Amino acid sequence: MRNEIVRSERLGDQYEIIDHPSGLRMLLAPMEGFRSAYALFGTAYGSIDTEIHYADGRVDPIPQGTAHYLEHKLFESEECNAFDRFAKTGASANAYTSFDRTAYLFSCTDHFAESIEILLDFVTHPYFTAETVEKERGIIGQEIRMYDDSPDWRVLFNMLTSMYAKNPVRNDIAGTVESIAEIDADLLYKCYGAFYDLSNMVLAVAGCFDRDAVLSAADKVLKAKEPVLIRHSTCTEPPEVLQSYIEQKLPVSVPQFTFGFKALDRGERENLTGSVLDEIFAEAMAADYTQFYRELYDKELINSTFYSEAFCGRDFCSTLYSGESKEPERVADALQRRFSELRRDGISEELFQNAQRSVYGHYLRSAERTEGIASELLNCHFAGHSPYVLLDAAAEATAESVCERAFSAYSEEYAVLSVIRPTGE
Amino acid sequence: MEDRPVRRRIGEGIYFTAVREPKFKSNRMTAVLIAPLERTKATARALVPFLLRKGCGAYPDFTALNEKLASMYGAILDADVTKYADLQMIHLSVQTADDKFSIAGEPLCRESAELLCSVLTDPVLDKYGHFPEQDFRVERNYLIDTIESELNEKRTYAIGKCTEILFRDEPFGVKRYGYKEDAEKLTAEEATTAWRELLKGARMEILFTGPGDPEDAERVFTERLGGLMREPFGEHPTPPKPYSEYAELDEKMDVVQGKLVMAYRLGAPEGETEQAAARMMAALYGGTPFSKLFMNVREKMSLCYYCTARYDRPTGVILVDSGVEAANMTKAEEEIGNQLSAVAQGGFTEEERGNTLLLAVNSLKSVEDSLDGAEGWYLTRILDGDMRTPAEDAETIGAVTAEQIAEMAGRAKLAAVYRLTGEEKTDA
Repeated sequence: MRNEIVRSERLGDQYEIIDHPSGLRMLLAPMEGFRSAYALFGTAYGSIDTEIHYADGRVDPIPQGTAHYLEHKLFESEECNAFDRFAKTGASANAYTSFDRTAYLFSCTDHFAESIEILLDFVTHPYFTAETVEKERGIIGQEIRMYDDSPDWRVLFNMLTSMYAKNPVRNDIAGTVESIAEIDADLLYKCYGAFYDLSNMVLAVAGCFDRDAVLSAADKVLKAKEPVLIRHSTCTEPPEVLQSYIEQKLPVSVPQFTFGFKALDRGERENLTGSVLDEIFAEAMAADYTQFYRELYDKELINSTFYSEAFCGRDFCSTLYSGESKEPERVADALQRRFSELRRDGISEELFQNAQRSVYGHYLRSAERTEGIASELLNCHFAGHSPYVLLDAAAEATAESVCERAFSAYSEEYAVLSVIRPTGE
Repeated sequence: MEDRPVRRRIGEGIYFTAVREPKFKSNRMTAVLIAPLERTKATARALVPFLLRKGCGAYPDFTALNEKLASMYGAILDADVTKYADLQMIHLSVQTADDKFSIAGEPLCRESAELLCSVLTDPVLDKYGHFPEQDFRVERNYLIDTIESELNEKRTYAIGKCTEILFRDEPFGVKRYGYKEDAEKLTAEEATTAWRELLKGARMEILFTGPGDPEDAERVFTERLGGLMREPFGEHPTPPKPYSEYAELDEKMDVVQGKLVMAYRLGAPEGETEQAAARMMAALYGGTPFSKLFMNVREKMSLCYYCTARYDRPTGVILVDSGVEAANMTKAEEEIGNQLSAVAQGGFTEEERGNTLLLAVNSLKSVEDSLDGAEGWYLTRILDGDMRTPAEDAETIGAVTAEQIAEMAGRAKLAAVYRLTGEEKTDA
């Protein structure tokens, strides 16, 4: 069993990497003074994995929404469901499926040893029958319909559908009512076998917990076996967007929009560190201390719901500007012009420093929450980084490095405006 | 926090509370201006924090103020309005990195306290002593947008509608952001008067949470606010109604998933024992992933995607909130009622009670692991007039018996139901 301590000079924090003999990597970050622990057990399998690639070269397509369906079903075993087991320890448990991850989690203040054992146990012991898989279909169908009514969700997914021609990031994470109709117990077992091997997973724990309890639970529950290598499907996404405008009508009071610039994919590792520079660039473009923001705000083209974010993952990367606006097209035009201005004039030193400090402050704040630390440990692990790389990237950025990244990865041409307009407008 | 925080009077109707938490990396300071929730004044008061957020003495416009915040390592200056019982609360908060993380050694903690005082007491005013017309117009229009955008999130919208019919003749029903028709009639002068009235009459609670030195901040607040000429409004809490006549409302809208919200009154629970019983009952009934509502209405009968219940202490109301297919609406409503009757008849095991308690204690003990969690906890304690720690509260709910839970469920009477369905309802 290998272990190593990783420290951050800037934060004064540290975490331990332990490679368990079962093949599972464990990342443990004790946090002094905290009362709760937050544990995440995840795999690099999400909605963008639309095929299983076997070692012998065979390829099986997977219907949209399978990773999410599997996440729902993994909570059940032959005897009982994992929520019933967590109920006895008082832990608050949950799970999520994103584009490129599935993760199971709990937070607790007491009975950590029992809870960590339950987490490792239920995720590594799948149990599905035709009947239990069938029963879930209705519940997931309702979840899909709930998101159909959510303007925040629709404005994002409509944008992704228009931005990406081939990358499955354009598909809804939960799939569609039609696509989940194809999912059965056999398929879930196949996906589990392909994507839930311990060598492709990670356990991240942050907060107040007993390190030995993690090790004993792992020794007790996890069995060593030959690793199964995950082969993710790849796609050749063109740099262009599929269409530059998309609109949907929903019962909302004010139109909502997301305007996204599409970046070239540079692989997960570089997408992640690049996204820190993208965040600084987006601040310099349109943060609330820029003249740009002021002008749009005073013209009542944007309001305080306006925000920017870097949106990146395994093989996709973009920068999004979202909010409410009575005239989203004018906001999008202004963002295009602003991008061109920065390309022409660069970012002034004063503006850069404010943008950099803002992003630095953001990463500092996420390092004071158990959930923030555990999530960064997991995400950065899958991208091949230490979580401290994000704060360091913000602290070490320069105006030149930010511009170099922005103008090599992005361009005015490759952008999409997605709008949700009020029904009846 | 092992000890109870100390709340000190630093001026007429102004109090400072320090919640010292060395484990965090930033400090959060919040000024809460507390006024009675009044239908005629709510809108003008709701506009005040957003106008104060526009600038202040040293940073006389929005861009200059935001530049200052960015230079303070992306300090966050939040303005918002909330309500608690029959009180409207104007919040202004600054959160910034602790001094030990500043690269150039800036005294960020002290600067934050000074900035907050300046925002509260020294806003940008025009030559008539009013908020500038342009700022006023923009913020008033955004307030109208905010009021209207409640419609966007159907879950929140449905809860709002149910609360509206439930509290139709009580001050609890007044909306926290006020009303569109009132906002449209407001003037910059009236908004300025609302600010001056708040500065003079609102109770001010200043909370400091984080690793920094609260004494330094307290000194700043005492110097800058302690000398204000004040005549506090005085507070006369409205007692909640034990019960009220049943009301219901059906609406149709272009939605895929319907919403059902049901409100029960518990006969106005009084005292810590009854309040604790009401909270435990609501948690067991619909506040956990193994609650009666979740296990039966969602899991067993697949009637809805979510179905939860929560207890609102100051009004003594349990609100059940669910996302339901139109075809299941009647069945879900019936089953939500049946489950409550089952709890009243003691239809739950000792294990269910014990598990509910474990989860409740878990969330109580975790509350101080985030800055806003700790701040929110102690603000509510101040409003309730009982500065108990989460650990002390855990003991109180731990003492609630199964009989007390059943008795509390037996007191519940359905007071209001709101149903939102798609255009073509196909109820069986």
